[in-house]
Amino acid sequence: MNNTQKLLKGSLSAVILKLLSENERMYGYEICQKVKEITAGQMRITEGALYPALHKLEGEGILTTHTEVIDGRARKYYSIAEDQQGNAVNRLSQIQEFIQQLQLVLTPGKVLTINA
Amino acid sequence: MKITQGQYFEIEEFFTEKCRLVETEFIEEMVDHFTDGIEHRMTDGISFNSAIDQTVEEFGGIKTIRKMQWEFQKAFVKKQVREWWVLSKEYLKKPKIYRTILISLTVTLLTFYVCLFTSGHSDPKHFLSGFISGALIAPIVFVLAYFVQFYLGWFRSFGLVKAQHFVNAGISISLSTTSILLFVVIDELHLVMMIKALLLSVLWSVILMLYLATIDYSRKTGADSWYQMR
Repeated sequence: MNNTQKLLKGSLSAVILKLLSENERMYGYEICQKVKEITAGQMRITEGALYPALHKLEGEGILTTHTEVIDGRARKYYSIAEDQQGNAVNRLSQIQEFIQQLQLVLTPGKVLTINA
Repeated sequence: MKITQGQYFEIEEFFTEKCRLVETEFIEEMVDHFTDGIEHRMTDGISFNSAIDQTVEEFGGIKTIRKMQWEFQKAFVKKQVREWWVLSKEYLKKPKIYRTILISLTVTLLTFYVCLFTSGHSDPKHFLSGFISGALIAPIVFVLAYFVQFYLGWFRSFGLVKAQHFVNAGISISLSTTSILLFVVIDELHLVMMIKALLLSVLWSVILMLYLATIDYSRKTGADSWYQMR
């Protein structure tokens, strides 16, 4: 696993929520392909990380699922639960805020005060 | 390039026989993902066998797939218990509240009758403590069977233990054990018989209500047995 993938794993739920807030519903393979497409192949979500993250969000009630038969096989679609739209937005803004703070810390020339 | 039906069954067999997965919902999701990935590779001119090998490798191997099922089961149990809890809370709302009132009244009358008129006739604690000891065997057998099914292929011919059965069995055993333990605790308290009877009425009413919610849950999920044959 390279460094980009390690960083991605930590913010996987944010990626999933962002994609699902833009697309009404998506299935696992589609999410993997979408990330690859958006980042022009620079980022790749591994299946071993994606599905546990999806199932965890489903277990927490943030995502809902429904299954449809496509080409003779069951396909499980994920979408943000109706009563969790606000929660998803909150989570996203928290992560965005964290990234901004991280950028501040990593920007050269900034004077930092770290409280122990 | 689309895969054939035979190749589809081969993918399914990979999960059920080679990986020895048990969760139908998870297997279906994996088969769908695999099929997409393999078809994509086959379009690029790769053979079916190479495509399946590459896809397995991409997933991180059989061990990772089994670990993924474990994560699925954890999330599944959490989701199911939440669903059960939602169904339980419905017994405090209309229209099910009428059923709750009826049950509570019946249970209260019965408890008061037993406490006030049959006291000293029998000692139910001997029977109940035996019941608790007996009930404890069930989770042990369940957990053993759950792990054994991954390592002994022949064991699976008897059936599979899935997360759904864990939820049903877990809730049922927890309810019966909790109710008996609380009964023993209340019975041991040095309280006036009327107060004791009142506490027991509340206990049995709540437990009965939660049992009814468990039946509703079983009906909803179709998990009508703890142990399901293949």
